Amino acid sequence: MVKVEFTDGKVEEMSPAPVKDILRKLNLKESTTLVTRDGELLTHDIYVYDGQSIKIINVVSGG
Amino acid sequence: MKCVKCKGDAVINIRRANAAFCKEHFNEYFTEQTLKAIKHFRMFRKTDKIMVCVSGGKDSLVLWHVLHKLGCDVTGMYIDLGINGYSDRSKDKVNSFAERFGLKTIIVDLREKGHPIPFVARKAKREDCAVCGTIKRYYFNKTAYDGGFDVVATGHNLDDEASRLLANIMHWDDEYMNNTYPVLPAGGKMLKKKVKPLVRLTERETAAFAILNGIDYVMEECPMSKGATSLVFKDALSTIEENMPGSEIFFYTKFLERVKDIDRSKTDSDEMKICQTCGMESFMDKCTFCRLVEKVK
Repeated sequence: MVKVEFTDGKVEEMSPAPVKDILRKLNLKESTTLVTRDGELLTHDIYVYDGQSIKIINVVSGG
Repeated sequence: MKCVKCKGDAVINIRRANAAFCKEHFNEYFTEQTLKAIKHFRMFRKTDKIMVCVSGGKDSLVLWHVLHKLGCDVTGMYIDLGINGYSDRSKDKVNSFAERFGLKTIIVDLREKGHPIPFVARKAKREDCAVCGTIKRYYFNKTAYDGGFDVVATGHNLDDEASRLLANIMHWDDEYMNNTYPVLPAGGKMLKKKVKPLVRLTERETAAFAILNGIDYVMEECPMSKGATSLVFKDALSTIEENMPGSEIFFYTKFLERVKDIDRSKTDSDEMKICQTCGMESFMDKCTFCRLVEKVK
């Protein structure tokens, strides 16, 4: 499984898939998120393999 | 995905530009877009003394970084809003950043001045964000004037400006709409020129720039901004952008073309009065800030 961490500290487990599909399954938009693996930015075509961890960063700020 | 410039591995794709970049070429793209805005809107000259309003968030720290790298005379101005925990963490980010790059900083501490935002909002029985806006605007203007700065720069980005424009259109608010512009001229004898050099870049791009360049920013949202209506407009625009990449910048830049010739100079200095309490220029005998903080004494 892929470990998915969010900015607010929440963690989810997902099936291995390209970044784009992981975001779609989580109902997140490409235009409002960035995804990193080991601190490196990932483009949406990159495949995330079983046992890997990614971070999803919400880039939208309000106020 | 490959970089459109060098065919190396890309680290970010930008759908609205139909492009992807490696780190080096993304940094180049980011700087070019910032310079394009500065030149097109004649924001400032290289010799100008610039005050950047910094919050510890990604946009303002990235703006500070880019202007510093461009060789501008830039000072970061941070207001400690007195929001327990959040203000301490954001101030730490600003101080660490300034120390790392050897940058000049001015810090205004609202707790020391006796009017932290939560306290004033509670006492004045007003919305936190409205109180914050009034107090921050006052100190931006006053600090820039006292410090002899030529220009005040803020980290507003394309998403901020386009969502603000959408909100103003929804209300058909002509006055606010006309002020949704990347440059606002100096007013009276004390109000300094205000500029927004990141208006050609989205917040996803500023966040990517921060991550790629090791700029440590406060990721948490201000606890008092929960439910901010600006987020509703940003969400609507991002849904459109997701389905039709390029719509947002088209919407914003076409608007700018339509309003480019409007005179935004606030007033002649003759029309301005001097606040009897603080000595800053005001439309009334006592400025909005002084009237607000007097209520909580």
